[in-house]
Amino acid sequence: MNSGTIARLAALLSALALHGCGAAFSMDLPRRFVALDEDEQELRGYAMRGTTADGVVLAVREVENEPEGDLVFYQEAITLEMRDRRGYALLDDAEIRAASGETGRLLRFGHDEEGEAYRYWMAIFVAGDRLFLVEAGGAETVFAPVESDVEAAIRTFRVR
Amino acid sequence: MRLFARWRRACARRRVSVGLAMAALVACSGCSSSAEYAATSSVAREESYGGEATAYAPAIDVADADGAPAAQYAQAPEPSPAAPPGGPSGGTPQTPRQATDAIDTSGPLLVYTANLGMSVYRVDEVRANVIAAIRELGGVLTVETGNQVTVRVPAARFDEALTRIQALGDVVSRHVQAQDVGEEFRDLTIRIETLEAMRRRVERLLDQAQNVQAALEVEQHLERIIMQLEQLKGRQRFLANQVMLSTITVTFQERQVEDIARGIFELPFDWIRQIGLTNLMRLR
Repeated sequence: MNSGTIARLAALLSALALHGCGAAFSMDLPRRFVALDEDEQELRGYAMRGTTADGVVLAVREVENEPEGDLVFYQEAITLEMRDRRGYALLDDAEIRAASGETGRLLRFGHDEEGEAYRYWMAIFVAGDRLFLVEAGGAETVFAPVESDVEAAIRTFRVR
Repeated sequence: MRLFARWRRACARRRVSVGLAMAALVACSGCSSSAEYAATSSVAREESYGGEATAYAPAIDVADADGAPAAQYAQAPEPSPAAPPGGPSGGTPQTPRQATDAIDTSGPLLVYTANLGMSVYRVDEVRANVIAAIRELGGVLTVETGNQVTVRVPAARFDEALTRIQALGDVVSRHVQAQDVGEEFRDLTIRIETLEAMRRRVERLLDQAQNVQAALEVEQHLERIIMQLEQLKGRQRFLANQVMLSTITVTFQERQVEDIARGIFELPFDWIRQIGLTNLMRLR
């Protein structure tokens, strides 16, 4: 085993350690965010979740794409659920590209919770038999200052 | 009693003969039958008309999802001069004393109503902006609750009001209706004219009555006619007011479960019911 091979192996192990061996994706958390305990989050349906000290939360759900739907299907399904059923305001719906090349949709919602305005974002990526949902949310007052960082983090999303 | 005093004055003048008085009473009796019939008939007719109104009046349902105003309500009547910008008291808009004179009855008389469902986001701000926009258009606030606001706006500015309100938030549902009340309005006009003529005839008979009993009988008929007239005029004023001022209701509300079951298919994905702020923000 030469030195080049050892270096590549070390980099691979490092990457696996950094992103979690079982995860089918990776995403960088923005500055000011801390990652929450993975096992705990997995029990709650999240493959990854992080938060700022003042309550902006960024999370990833990884679900089985079964029955198989495409991006348009999930975009419509989630918009119906959030906007038409739960009364979230759809503020924007735009294309977003993952770092690994997949084209996704970024839906930006607004919603009042007990009279206070909140932001809620949902990025959707479909990769074969897997569906990845990146959620971000928080009170508008604390979300607005970090929203560009959150969007940048979503753009680092990579399907493995 | 006012009518009775009038009869007494008429008696004092003694300008009619006993024979004429008897003839008048006979005629009066005939009138009373027809007045009674007219009253009964018109009430029944009004009820059935009212029942029919929703069925046969051309309720031009122009609900659409894209928000494009339909041509049916583009030809709204001219604005009423009697639609003053109202205060925030929530009182009903003032109606001109002769509301029925302020509208053109030659064509269709359309009552415009709109119900907009808006997403729950910045509700206080959107609600305040809706009210401000309507006041700028000469409209008034009629109802304001936590999740709903109802405003009335001059009919000619209905379209503009809808456009402005829809720009203030994310409109999830939209239902616009134009109902033609022209036939009912014209029917009321004819019935009022008929009753007015009858009232004048009965008043003349009262003047001619020669004794207290006859006068009281005529007076009772006259009171019934007047009561009937007031009902018809009240209904006509109400219709005129509805035509001049359109009603727009904005509701900020998540759909209820029963509405969802009727209107939206639920996907069999457990995760879709778990997304959203509530779970995302619950860290403990």
